[in-house]
Amino acid sequence: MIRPIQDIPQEAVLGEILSTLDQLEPFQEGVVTGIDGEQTSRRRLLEAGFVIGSRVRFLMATPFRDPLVYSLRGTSIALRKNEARSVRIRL
Amino acid sequence: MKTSSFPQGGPGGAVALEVSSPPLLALVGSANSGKTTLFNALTGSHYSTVNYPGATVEYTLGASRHLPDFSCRVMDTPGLTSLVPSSPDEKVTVDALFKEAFQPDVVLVVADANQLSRHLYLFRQLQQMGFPLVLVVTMEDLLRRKGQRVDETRLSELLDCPVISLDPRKSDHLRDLSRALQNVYSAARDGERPSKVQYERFASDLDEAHIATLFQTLDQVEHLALRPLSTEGSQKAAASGRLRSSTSLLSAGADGILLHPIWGLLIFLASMCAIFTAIFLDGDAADERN
Repeated sequence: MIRPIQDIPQEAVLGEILSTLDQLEPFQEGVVTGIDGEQTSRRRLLEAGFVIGSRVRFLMATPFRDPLVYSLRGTSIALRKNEARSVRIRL
Repeated sequence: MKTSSFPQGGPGGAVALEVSSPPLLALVGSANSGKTTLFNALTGSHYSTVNYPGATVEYTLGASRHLPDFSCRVMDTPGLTSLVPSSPDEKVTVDALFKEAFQPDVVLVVADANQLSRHLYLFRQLQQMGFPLVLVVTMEDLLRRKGQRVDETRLSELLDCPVISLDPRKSDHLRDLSRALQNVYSAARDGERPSKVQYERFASDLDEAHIATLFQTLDQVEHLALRPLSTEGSQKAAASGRLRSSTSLLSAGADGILLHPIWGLLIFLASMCAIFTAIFLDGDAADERN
């Protein structure tokens, strides 16, 4: 069945897969498309460099998969799982 | 007239300075950018530096001993991501920058060459506030192993600020640094210092759109200021890069095991048991000897 057009998220460009940071496989990369969540945590993530268009790579998970470690702008950063979930990306 | 009643630093070269007031230089930068290593190099102190954020949680004051042309007091500060603080230790640094008695005459911003866009974010904020600035770029040796270098002249033009790339563990370039500091200090000497009121306005203007725009600019700055190494240099770099990638593979492998949910915990418990048992065995042996 063909999906009605309004079901496709607005930012989606043909062939792109939209996801969140916590869904990445190790060493998989994504590009930030936005951040959800409350203002203070959004701001903290932005100031750490997770601005729209930034390339982020998932490096590894720590025990119990929280926090998760990402490589971004020449460094590695650990994010709590719920923070990682709030960062929207495209693959 | 400034008088300083700073919490006195610990061992080494950190000394209490009371009546006289040579210019105050503040080392400011993101976590893990090399502030304390540079502080030790400038003052001859021996503060231990460790490789994680939050290592420095209060400010330390020392007299510069290794800056040939610029005698000053040096203040080390906790790592800071933004001028709008998000944690108590960041608030300490920000408050110090605006306290009248301790307001720095020159701010020395320390940035890691490998993460310029992130570390220049704070630089740009300080510049917008109007602090007299000198930028020190550290860890260029690591960047060179990746086949890139920092074009200091270009970076200095782009940021409109003196830029010195140096390794605080070596003493070269300290003369360049002290000359730059002296120039900036003389030029800004009688100027107004940023006030708390200006800061409040700055903090309330800093919205998410503003942050995004700042990073866009910094991405361009980084792109323009980083150059590939010359062919001769890059061959060397490639050689040591191979070396490095094999060590980082090793380190990643070790992380994979030591941070594994089951094996990691087992190895942790085993090593704790080993230490515990060793203490008792050693204690028993000592008892028998007595």
